[in-house]
Amino acid sequence: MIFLTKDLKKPWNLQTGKKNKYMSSVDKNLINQLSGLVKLNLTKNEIDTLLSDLNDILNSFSKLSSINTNEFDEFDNTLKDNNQTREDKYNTSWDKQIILENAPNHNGDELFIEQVLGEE
Amino acid sequence: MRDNFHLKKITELNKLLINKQISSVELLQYFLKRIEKYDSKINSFISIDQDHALTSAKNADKRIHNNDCNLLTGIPYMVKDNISTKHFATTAGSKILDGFKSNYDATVVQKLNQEGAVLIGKGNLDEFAMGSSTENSAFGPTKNPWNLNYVPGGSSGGPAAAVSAGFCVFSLGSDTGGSIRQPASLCGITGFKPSYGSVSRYGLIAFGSSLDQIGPFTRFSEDTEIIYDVIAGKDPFDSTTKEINKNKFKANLKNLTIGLPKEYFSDYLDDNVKSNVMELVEFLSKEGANVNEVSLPHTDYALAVYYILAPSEASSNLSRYDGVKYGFSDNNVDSMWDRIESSRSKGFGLEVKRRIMLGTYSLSSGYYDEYYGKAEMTRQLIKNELNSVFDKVDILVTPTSPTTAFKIGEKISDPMAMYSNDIMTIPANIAGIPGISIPVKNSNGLPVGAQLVGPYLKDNNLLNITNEIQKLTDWHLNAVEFD
Repeated sequence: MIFLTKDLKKPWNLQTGKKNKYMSSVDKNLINQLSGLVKLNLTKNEIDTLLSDLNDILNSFSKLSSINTNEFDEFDNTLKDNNQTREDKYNTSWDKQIILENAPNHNGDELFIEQVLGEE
Repeated sequence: MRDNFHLKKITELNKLLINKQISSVELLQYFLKRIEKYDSKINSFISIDQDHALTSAKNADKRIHNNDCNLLTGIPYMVKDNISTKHFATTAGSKILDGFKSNYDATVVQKLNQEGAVLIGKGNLDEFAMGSSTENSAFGPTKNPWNLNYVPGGSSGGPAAAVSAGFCVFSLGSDTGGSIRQPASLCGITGFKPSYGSVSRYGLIAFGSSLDQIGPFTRFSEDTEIIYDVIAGKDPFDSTTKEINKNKFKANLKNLTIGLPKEYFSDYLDDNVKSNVMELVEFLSKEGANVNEVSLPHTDYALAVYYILAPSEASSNLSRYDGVKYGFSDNNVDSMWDRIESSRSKGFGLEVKRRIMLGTYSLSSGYYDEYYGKAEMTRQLIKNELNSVFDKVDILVTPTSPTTAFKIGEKISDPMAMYSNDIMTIPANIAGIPGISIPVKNSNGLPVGAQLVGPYLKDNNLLNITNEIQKLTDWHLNAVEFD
């Protein structure tokens, strides 16, 4: 019979319920600022839900602040062993007509969007 | 005997096809009949193209007739609907891709089609692969074939349910934080996430690009190995892919050293899941494997790391959906900015919006160091810890999911409860290493999966170990019976 040590009684520490001193909180102004950046027009219900959810999620994730990561560089690429560059040479790409077939508003040669220049 | 083709291995079906005991067209029709009869209850498919599949099956029969065939010729399969296909719409389970049709096949689909495999259709998923229950699909939830009141897991719930229900021989899913292994576990089948970079992501709709990986669902580990051999390898269209050593490794369970990470067996784990996974460990021990307890102390932080990094990458990847170039577009607008905002607001579901907001927050000036930067550095810590453990053991054995399938609706309004389903599978994505879920003994009529995790690019070794396990055990032969 194989036994695992019993010293780990704690459940997965998802939500401490305590506010971490490093924790940033999200308020309605920040939600509105973020939704503007990502071009989402949120309903009142969505704002209320996201306000509560994001604070819960960020609260539980704030435990990362307790880990010592001094030996690591945040700009170090974890995929550096994978990414391989190739010779930068000209290659043919997709035909414009094929690409435009998926566009919701087009005339077969150009995309149609509302006027941009001249807007206030 | 023309029954139960859905319970046969690929090699057995291949033998029947080669010996002309059945044709590819007949095999396809067998699966189409099962889909017609049962999928209205399960909702595993988003789209099916019978005519296209029939043409592929006829071509497969010609190849078999001309002795120009291989193991996958004439074998019906499904792909998750975030993998691009030329002949089917590709929706990613989202309204925002309404009407989108890719002009090319993903590399994995191209490779399978070259082998003569028969693509039946596209599988349901959580929108943009964001979820653990397939309840977040714009096309309605998929049900677990073992109990229709329960979720099949996610995000690849459609492809997992389809193999479990016997609608195809195999399917392809994508796994960013467990989206192949967790639904495989909940549906009682085998699900494999290969090493990052071993299978091309070209044509996979990007979610978390540093974590995403395509892999197969099968009933047998042996079938997984056959599919992996076909889809793995370097692809000039995905700069992160590598040449794969396809030399066969002969696993000997006697010489294996197995690590049981104690952090995965905490009290949070369902008792029955724990005892059924430990039955597999007992079996391996009896076969002569050396079982050691190991510790991976930073596992506890993996969930936070993942749910900061993946949404951050997603917030960038999903910025391309603007209602202008393709997909859903709201025409009832006055300006281009209104079009973009309105199309995104009406096209994305709540979970996708939640992750875009979370990712954008984590990347924002003022919060970047606290969240994204810290998560990136902790990722390196977890990756190093996992890589080091393979100096001591050949593989890790853990549960795949902390619980069996849960009821539809049970966790949908509690994001943290939903996210915690991925707690056992996320570390393999963070480290880019291979992981596979295989069925062990069911608990209260619902499947339980054990996860085996191996070192980076030792995918074939891992698959040979699970092949050996399934040669000597019969847990994977448990199948859903509808009638």
